Amino acid sequence: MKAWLVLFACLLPLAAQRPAQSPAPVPATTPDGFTVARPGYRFSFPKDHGSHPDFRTEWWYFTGHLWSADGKRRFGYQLTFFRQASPSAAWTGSAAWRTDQIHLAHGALTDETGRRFRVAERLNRGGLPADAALDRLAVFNEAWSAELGPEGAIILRMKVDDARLELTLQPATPPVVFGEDGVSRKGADPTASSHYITFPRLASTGTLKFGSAPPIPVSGQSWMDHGFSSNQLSAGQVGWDWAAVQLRDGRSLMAYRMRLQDGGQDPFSSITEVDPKGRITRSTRTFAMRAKGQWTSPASRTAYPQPLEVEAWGERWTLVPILADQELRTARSTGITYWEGACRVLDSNGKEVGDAYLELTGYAHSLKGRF
Amino acid sequence: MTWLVLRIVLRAMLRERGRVLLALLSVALGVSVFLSIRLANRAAVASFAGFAAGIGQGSDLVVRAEAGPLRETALPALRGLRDEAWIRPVIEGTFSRRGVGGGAPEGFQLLGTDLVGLAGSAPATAEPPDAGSGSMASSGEGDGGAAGNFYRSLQDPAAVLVSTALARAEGLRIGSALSGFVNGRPVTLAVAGIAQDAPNRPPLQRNLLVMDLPAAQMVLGRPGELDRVELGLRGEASLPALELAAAAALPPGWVLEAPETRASSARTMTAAFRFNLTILSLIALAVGAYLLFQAFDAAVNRRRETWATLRSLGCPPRLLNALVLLEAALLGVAGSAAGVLLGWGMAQGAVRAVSKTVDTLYGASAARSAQLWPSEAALAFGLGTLTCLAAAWLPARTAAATVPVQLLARGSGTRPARWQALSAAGLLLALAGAGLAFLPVLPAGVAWHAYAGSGLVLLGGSLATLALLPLLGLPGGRRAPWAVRLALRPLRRPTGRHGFAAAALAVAVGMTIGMGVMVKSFEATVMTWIGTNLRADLYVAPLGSEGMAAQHRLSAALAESLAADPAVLAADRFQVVPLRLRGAPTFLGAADFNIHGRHGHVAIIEGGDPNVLLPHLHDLGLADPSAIASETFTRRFGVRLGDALEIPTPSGLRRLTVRGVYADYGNERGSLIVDRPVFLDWFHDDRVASLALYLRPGLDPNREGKRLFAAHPGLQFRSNASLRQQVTTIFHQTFALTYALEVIGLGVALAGLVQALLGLALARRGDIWTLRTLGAKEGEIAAVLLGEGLGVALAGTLGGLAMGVLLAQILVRVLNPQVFGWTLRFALPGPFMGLVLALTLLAAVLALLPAARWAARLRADREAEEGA
Repeated sequence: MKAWLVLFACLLPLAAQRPAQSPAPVPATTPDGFTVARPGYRFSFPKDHGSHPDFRTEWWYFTGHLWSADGKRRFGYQLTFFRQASPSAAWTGSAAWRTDQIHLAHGALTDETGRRFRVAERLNRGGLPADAALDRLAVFNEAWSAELGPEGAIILRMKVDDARLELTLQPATPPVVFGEDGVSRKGADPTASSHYITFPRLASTGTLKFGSAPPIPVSGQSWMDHGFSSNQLSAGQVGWDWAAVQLRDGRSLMAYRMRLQDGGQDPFSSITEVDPKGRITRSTRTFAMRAKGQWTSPASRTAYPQPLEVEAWGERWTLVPILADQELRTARSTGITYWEGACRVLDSNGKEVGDAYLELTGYAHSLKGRF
Repeated sequence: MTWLVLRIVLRAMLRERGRVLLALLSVALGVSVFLSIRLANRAAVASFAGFAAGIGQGSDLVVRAEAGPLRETALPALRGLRDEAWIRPVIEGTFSRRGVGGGAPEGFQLLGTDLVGLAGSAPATAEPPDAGSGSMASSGEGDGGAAGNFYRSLQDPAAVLVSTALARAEGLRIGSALSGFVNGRPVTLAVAGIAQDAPNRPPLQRNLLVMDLPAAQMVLGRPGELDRVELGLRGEASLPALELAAAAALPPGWVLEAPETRASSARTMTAAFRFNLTILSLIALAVGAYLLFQAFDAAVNRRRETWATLRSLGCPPRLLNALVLLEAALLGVAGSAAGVLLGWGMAQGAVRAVSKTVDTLYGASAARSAQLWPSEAALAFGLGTLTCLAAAWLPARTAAATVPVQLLARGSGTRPARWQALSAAGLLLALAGAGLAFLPVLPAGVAWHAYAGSGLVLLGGSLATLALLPLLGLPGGRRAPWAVRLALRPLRRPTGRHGFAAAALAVAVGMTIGMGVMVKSFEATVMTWIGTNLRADLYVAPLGSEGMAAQHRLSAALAESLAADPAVLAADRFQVVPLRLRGAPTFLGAADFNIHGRHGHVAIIEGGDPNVLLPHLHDLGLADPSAIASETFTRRFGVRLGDALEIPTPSGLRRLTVRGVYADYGNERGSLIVDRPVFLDWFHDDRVASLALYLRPGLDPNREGKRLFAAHPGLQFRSNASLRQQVTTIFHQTFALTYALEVIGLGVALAGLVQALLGLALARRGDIWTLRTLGAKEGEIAAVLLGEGLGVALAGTLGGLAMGVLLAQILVRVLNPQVFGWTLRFALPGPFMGLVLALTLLAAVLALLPAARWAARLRADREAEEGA
């Protein structure tokens, strides 16, 4: 999902100039030469955890819920790496300083007890400042990194303001591939699709260090998305609401709702349920996301729907942020203002039944034409 | 009180407009000279730091290689620092354009840095990044989406970001072409962005071109190389912690320095030069102070009846004191204010001269205009006002302390000075000054004793000059014609006014002679040195190269093709790299010792005949690497013949032995020169900074130079003669400002002389009236007054001459070796000194003549107006 930030940020002007494709066979490449995510893609791991530079856009997205050892302090975190390629060019710089690959990253830490939300961002070029391995998960942007270790665990490192987070994520399931036949469709245009891999349950342990204070041991549950795509856009979309829900009963839900200019929900929106073993049990486009309240950011004056209610398959969950202000204003990288944060999940009886990460975009401004 | 102020101070000032104007001029000139030099200096030095600061935030630490460039492949070692710091890799070079209409080539600093990272590390703004992060992407004005622009700029290897100043001056727009040469190769750059000035950073220097790093590396022909990596603190990170972490992370051969070091090493480099200028500018103020004292003394004296009347009416002495000081304060404030404005204007001219000098010496200044720093303006203003008050202090006390009866006594205004005591004290002071300058043996670089000694010599010498006045009065004895007697007799019992005029002129002449002799000694030494060192027929360098700090290089292939030209008998390839030895910057050069030994010449001070020494060092080769060290180098690093040194190179530490010491007046950082094969083995750098070509016998260097230039338009071919000419020109440019300051100092002193003569004439009104009554013609009276004035001028000039020679000794024998490490041959330029004497006296005649004629017409009845 995060890739859309980049796509909207960097490519909407280009895409908007192109007429919509007719529902013809899916072309192998985009007009500017990038590989199109097409059905029938055969995933191979660990290689497919690595970078796919023949696709225009790629993202590695980590979120999680962490608690101190005594359970008294609760944190949420987000660490996202984006890669964005330019159309082919005669001069692509040197291997150390590429001019055809841009890497961005957003990091955020929510401290519920300390009532503080920390955000940082990175913008760099491919090569020495930032890069992603081709054959395995090893991505970095400056000193932030995510790397799949030899034991099968993912090591995350990031520092946001004075907070340094180091985590080891142990996948509880094999990677889940969303969509049909290896492809997740995002719009009417058959090339508007991505390859989308998720680890919905990652047992997380590590340390969180604030300034020169002693490190706090933390543990909890993380979620990882990895996607690569060359076009995911549809005309008329202004933003989306997206949620990664980890229920206490072992089920995981991934929901996204594309919001249209007229206020409606794009038919390609969907919600998918994954069982504790990492198998997709059901997926539907018939679901609802409703605002149960509103929070207005004092910084951007943007009103966000909070809490948000999700209804599908006859069940209802309410996502309640652990901290109202989890708004990211990313002037140094994508230039987009959005809300992304840790939430408690309540069932229809108001009972806490899980945790979620929620992303709300397109409320501060339409993403169209940004950057 | 108000009545008193109006009557005594303001009305008197209005009535004596000439005196007031002269006093104002003295203050204004002194203040303006002082201020303009300070402003010009600040502008020239600020331009060092301004280069980097103009394209982003200032950095907190800088990483460099001890020797040669940084290899970017080692950069990941610094990745761990990136949470605490942003990192800015930088490569630098020079882009040159041929001057318009065959004029001097114009050089641009070409700076390559990671523009994407620069945008990413820009300070957070409320606006999206396109609002002014300073990257090329941010400043595009072209059509199409911003993302398209971003990549278009980044993916054009010729894309360059130019300053608003350059764009305005040349009408450059996005897409405009900028053609010139880099390392002698023709290059055309395309303007991809114009740096928008923003309030939070200094504007980009006019002659700075910014390129994306890989493009700059390609244009400069230096793939994979960096000149430095700048680190800047992020958020709440602490500098000491970053320094510790950086020091631990640095790969071998990389060193950490405070970012200030670059600017401050430039500051140290130019410190001596700037200090000299500041001292010179203070001289103008000091000479001005002499004059002011004289002016106040005269003014107080002239109104002695007024003071006497006021005292008789019961006015307390304190009030009289205050009245004189009030007048001084008024003059000081008005004169200083005018001086600040004048100084600011003069700084615009001075900055070019200072920049030119700094450019010539250190190759890194770009200042073209001087800004008015409030602190400097306040300093100059304060100094001017205080000088005025200080100069009025003694006259004010005199006015207040003298009893009415004495004030009213006729003729009491011209008290004879205690010249014997004063000149004896002056002589002692001057001798003490010389002793202070010459006696202590202090470490290199320390020169306070020389400066303090020079100051004492100036003060003492100017006082000692008083003794010359009675001497010059001797011809006015009884047997001399009446006019001569009348002219010279006053000199035999000189008054304070005579003394001050002579002393002020002595200071100005002394400074002029002192600096002049030093410059001439310098010139004589350098010219001899060049004469022995420049033996080749043609000198080849990339367009725009000047000095050791120039970053132009010829490729090995280009140098080879020139060396292989049929006209060329032998070619000496010279390369030079900056080096850090024991933490201090210096240079390591490489020359073909074999060729240089056989065809060329180097002024070896120690180590034997260069034509034997150099081929010998060549034969020792890599088995026993040897170097010759410049005299400056040996002084700076305390190295002696036969000493072994560990030199950092890209291949690690290498050991060499110093087997010769040579004279070098080209740079004050010192340099070592090794044989080219040794350098190639250690540095793996086959480029060439300059090439000396020895032509086959009988060929005309000028014609061959033109022929080769036609084939290589990006190179400069200078014949031996034209290179000598260029060195001479640069030499004189370096001292242009010194000359200007001396002229100003002399001008102020001459103004003082005129003022003194007018004062003396006014004091002798009675004599003048009597003479006229006795039938003396106006011309005769004027001649008497002129004679008296010329006597004072001659005393000042002769005193200044003696003082100047002593000062020059200090400058040549103490200051230059201490500060620059340059041993100069003391040369006493007779014609120059004669010229200064003649010009000073001629100027004195021209200045005194109208004053004398005016004074000769003074009427006795003016006396009655006094004190009315």
